[in-house]
Amino acid sequence: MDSPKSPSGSVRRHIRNISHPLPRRNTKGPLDAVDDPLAHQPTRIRSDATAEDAPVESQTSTPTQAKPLPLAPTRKIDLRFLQNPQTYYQLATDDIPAAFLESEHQPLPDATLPDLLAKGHFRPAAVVALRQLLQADSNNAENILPLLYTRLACLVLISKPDLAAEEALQLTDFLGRGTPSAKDLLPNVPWELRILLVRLQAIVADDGGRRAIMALYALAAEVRSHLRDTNESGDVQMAQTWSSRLRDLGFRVADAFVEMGELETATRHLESLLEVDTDEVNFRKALLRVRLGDIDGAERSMKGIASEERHDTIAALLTIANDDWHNAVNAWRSVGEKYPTSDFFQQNAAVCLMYTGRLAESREILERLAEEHDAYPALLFNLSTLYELCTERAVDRKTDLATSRAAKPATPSSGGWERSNADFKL
Amino acid sequence: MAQHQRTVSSNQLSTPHSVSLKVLRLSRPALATQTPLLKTSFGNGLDIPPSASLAHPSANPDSSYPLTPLLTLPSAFGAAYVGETFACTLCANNELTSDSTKAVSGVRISAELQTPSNQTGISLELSDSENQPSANELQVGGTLQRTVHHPLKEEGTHVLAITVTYTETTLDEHGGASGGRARTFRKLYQFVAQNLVAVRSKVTALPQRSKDSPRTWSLEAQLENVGEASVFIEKVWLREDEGLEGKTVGSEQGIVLKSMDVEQVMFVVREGRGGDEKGKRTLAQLNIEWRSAMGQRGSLTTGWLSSKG
Repeated sequence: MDSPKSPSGSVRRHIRNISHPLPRRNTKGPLDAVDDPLAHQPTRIRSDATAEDAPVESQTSTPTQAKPLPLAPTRKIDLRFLQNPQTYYQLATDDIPAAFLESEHQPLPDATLPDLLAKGHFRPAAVVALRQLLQADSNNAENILPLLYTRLACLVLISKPDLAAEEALQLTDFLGRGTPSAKDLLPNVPWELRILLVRLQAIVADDGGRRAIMALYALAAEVRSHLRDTNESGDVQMAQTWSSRLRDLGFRVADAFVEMGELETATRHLESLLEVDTDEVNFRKALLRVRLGDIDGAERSMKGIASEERHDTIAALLTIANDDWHNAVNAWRSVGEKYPTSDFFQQNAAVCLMYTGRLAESREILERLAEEHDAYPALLFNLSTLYELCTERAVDRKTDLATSRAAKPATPSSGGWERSNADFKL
Repeated sequence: MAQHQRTVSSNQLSTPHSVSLKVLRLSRPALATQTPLLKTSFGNGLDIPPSASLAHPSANPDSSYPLTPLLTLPSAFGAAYVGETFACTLCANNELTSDSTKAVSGVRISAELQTPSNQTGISLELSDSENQPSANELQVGGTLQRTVHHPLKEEGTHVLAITVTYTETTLDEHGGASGGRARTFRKLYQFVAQNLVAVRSKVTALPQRSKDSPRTWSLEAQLENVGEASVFIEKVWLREDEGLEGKTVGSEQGIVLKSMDVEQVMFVVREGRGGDEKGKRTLAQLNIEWRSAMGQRGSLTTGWLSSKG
């Protein structure tokens, strides 16, 4: 699978020098007691054998055997290295249809960040998040890090994950260095941000994502250590949190394999997961196998799915795999009638109609869905493709589609309200 | 498939055509992907609604999975592989506007495929759906859709040649026909069929127990994925020549071959009874059946493999 990339043509590279040296912390020298590397032990990956004699600790990411030095809590976190404007890209609007830029639904210039996020204005939200981040107090990690998360997440949502990946490098590199100050910062980094950093790492990596897999395993080791600590300290709620994070990481390794195109490895990994929702695992395996072409395997996985909706979904996909397009149309239609809240079944029926030579019908369904529901990239892509087949003047149709979307009130679903030219194949 | 379009020729140089032709290679639809974000709980309004990162609004917000069951039409022509069936949909569109003084009728599409061994072209059968309007009734803005299927058997350059013919009628002020003419145009789409699975085979005579005992050979083959996508080998089997019996060694089913991967398979082929036969012998044909993304079928049969003597 290709990693998603921003549409080509965005102007950006010239504003950033990736190899720019990091501003060095100058508040303390290397010999200052608080920075003494001997004062802190590196994060340990503990095996079960050593668990019993591990000291009781609560919620610290750097388990220590020695007591933390009394100075440690007062040490200031300095995030100035995240506040260099050179690190961040300007977001061009030349890839956005004019209909959106001129729409009355564009947010006001003074719209607040929560407002922008709630309504799905993710491009302006990315801009505002960055502005606030640059203006924030450098010592206030609780403010800066969620803003950084918001900035990166918004870039992902507007299909610019490659920009997000580059902007994330400063923090990823800083944490990866494992210096005492990095270890100080680590407990302040929201978990969601850490997961996002790993995911973005896979996008820019020239190793096809292998390092991201290693990073996930490293996170898992860290979570296990937290889990052990919280179990020992009897903090039931935290233990549950860490335990669900661990399960989530297990799934994420498979996700990363899928994104790397290592579909067979992903299947094997899913099979190795313990104490997980078997329905979820079987559904994921079935999807993977359909994509890979292992149709018998997909059928076996489907048999293990208890949820009727998911079972029917895979069954409908299998009719496609067997080249049975008339039945595929019927299958998607009947699932659609059974579960009317999921409009994507009808979308899929429309796609299959194309393969049975019923383009006009297919187009009607997609146009109706685009009119009645929140549009999503796949729907817009399919409809735009049909417009390209129906006429030489497809650009007009696609522009009309963009105009009608831009006239709808803003919603946050599936990438937000504003869409790029690429979404309409313009 | 626009990038494969070679020429557009027309036998009429005068006015632009009232009918256009658009084509889409109908390889399998793809599964849409997504990058779900973790649910956050920052408070202070910075939490992004979970539906924002899902491929469609009704997707499961608790799943981190990048694959979804949402279908998308093929986004590019892609690679065409020997052993698989090539499918392409052809759309003839009435491009007239409602205020036009022309009308279109009798639209007909025909398709031929030129292959490396048949440069004159094979006429392809066009399939339609029962719901298609009859050709004569192609309204303004209407589309006539036909689909062609052809199993690709040869490596090399193929040209899909589509001819569209129709009658263009000029209408007078009262809407009556004042004159009509038959028009036609042809479009060519060139593509290269390439191998997906390459087979290298080797036959070795196994030592005989005695002079009269049946002769036995081992037949080894290396299957290599020389394409760009993964392939799932469903079945590898032998069609033995008369009087021979083949047996697989190991299991040759359900092999995933990624691009550049190689898999070795082996069969033992034995004569039914102690032979009077000596010398070179035709043994078997190797058959490989596979599926690629979304279950696209493909198959390959080698020539007859024989012993050296």
